[in-house]
Amino acid sequence: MGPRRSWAAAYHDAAGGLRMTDQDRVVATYTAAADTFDALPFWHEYGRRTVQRLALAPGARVLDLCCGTGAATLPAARAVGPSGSVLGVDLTPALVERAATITAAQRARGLDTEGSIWRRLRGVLPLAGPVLLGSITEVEERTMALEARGFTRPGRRTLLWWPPDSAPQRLARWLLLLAVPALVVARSLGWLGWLR
Amino acid sequence: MLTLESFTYRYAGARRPSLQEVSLELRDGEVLGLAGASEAGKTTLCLVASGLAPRTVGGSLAGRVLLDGEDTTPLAMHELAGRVGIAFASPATQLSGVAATVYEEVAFGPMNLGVPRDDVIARTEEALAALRIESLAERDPAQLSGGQQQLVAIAGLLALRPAHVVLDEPTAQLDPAGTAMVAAALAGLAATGASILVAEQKTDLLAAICGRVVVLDAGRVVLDGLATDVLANPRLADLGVAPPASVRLRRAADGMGLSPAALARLDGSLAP
Repeated sequence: MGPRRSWAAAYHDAAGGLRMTDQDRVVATYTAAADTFDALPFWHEYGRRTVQRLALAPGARVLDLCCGTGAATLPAARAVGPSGSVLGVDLTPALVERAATITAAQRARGLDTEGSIWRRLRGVLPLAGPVLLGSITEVEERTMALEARGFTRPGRRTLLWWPPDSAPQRLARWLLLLAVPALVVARSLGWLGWLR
Repeated sequence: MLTLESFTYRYAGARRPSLQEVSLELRDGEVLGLAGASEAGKTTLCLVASGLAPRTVGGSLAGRVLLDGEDTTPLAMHELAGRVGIAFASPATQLSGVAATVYEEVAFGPMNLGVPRDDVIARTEEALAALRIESLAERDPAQLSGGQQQLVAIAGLLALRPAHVVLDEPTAQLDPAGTAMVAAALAGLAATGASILVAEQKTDLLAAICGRVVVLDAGRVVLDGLATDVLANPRLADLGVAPPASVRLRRAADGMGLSPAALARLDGSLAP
């Protein structure tokens, strides 16, 4: 009871006594959690699997009550396609606002947030294409820039800082390095049969 | 002194040479401007002068490149790295990609060359100060704007303290303030005795920092002389090079019947 009483007292102090309704409590709780709501990955996993089990048909109309940041709303929108519609409703304005922010951010990056998986993939390709092509076509200039800065010079480089490396750490590193060939040899000689 | 002795360069697989019978002499402390239309051979000349062509780029070179009288033919690229520095137009391709901060990015070249640590730190801080980008030192280079990345790339070049510097359109992605910073840094570098070759489309920048300008056309040197003379040459526009604003202003004034003396009074800084 201790932790619960402590939570209730703090809650009541901030809200002004015991006059709060259940709805207010829910809104206040989820509003407080809105910024970190998406850090919990299971919301999106549950949303995706829920929509999967519903087997929504293209063109269906869906009402998502307590939609949160859209964990089920967005997968449902993809499932029903452009001919369907999905309405997400939540008690917590902060979560609805956050869901809108996520969708807007995806659209701002040029991602198609609606339509079938193929339509969305077609939206990704123009974004990823230049990056991939750029990494291939500009290799020569990157190479030249590195060579002009002595990257291919043989011998030791100067270090600006040294990571802490105590004697036990060095010993452990050498032992690990030696363990690899030792294990390969031991395995080839059949000495590790007892591990099976 | 950087000397290009009557050289001809052809890219691998090309039918015709990109540069033909080019001879140039870049004296210590001199800032030489390189102008010309697209495909005139400016970038190729920069690659040859820096040693990257044919070492890294491939192709065939006839003629010699001399550094302070020494033939560079037998030298490897890493042996030239501390003596001739080069910066390109595109900032994104010049960053090492391995440095977590701007400070480490600028220090990358001297670290590769095995310069003593204290000297690396001194060079890095001096290069950052020369371009007034000390405030970026702790930033991630990949997160900077294109203009900021270009200043970082040039700072990385300055940190190598090369005696000869080659810049291929270094201010192509910089705003006027960034261009002015680069111009000031180059003037400071030239004052230390370094020789600088700048290929630029911005003839205003060439007029501001160069004593001499060379114009290329179809891989050949067609104009070579004092910056004030070459940039005022009537053939410039035919060679695909826009004259600097001061020259265009003077020509416009001539057309309107205004005297040069009246123009000089406007800001008092027009080239003679």
